[in-house]
Amino acid sequence: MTKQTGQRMIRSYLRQFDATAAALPRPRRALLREELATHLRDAISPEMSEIEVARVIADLGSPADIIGEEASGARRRRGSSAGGTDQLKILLIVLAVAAGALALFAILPIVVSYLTASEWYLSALVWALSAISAVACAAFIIAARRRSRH
Amino acid sequence: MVSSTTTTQLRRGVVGPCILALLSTGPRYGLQLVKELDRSGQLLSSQGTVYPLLNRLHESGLVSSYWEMSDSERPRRYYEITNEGRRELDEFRNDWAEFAGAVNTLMASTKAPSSESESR
Repeated sequence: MTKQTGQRMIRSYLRQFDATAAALPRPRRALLREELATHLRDAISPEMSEIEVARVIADLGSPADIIGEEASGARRRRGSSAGGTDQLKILLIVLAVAAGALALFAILPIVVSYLTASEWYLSALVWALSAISAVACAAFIIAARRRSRH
Repeated sequence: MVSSTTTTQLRRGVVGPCILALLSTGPRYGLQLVKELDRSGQLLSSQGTVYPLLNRLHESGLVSSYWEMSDSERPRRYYEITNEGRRELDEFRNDWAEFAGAVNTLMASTKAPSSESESR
């Protein structure tokens, strides 16, 4: 077999990889491609027959199988980290509900204090702090949801 | 098929520690690891799946990697085990001895009666 035939078969394999690997993140795709290319160039020698080269490529496995393994690993990693994210979400929701309830119940004393012309501004301060807490918790929840989507 | 699914799951569980065991004796690049795993038996479903596995070990901090450049050869990505990888490997060795012993005992104890009934 000529050196060109081996290189042609490697290029054909890498084209298949490119067509299949579009879903992988670009840096990971480039690194995996480089490793597969190095593997083939190391394993294939100019003395090999075309059948032997085809055997080396078959032993490496189809790009679909390799990318499937890559994707299943990524899914498992996301699954193992999901538990912690869920606990954080629950904690934030509880905090948001508590702060919201506090804000709601603080309105009543404000109204009563205002009507009785006592020191209503203290209640207003409590209400304002509670409202700020509720907004902060809502922002945390939105941030956590965005992070879990990535 | 049940048996092939079981084998696939078994491979997924044990190939990582086998790679760590090989790397515990020194750094290696992908093709070297593939050849040694192949010599040990049917540990890889296909050789290329070693690269996603290596990436997983790398992301978990169990192995690190570096590129080695030389004028005579192509640049190669070498992998080496980290201290965390060595701890993981030690833990696996202990767990595996216990686990394999339990499975062997159970398989042996359940195989004997069916073999006897077949011989009748």
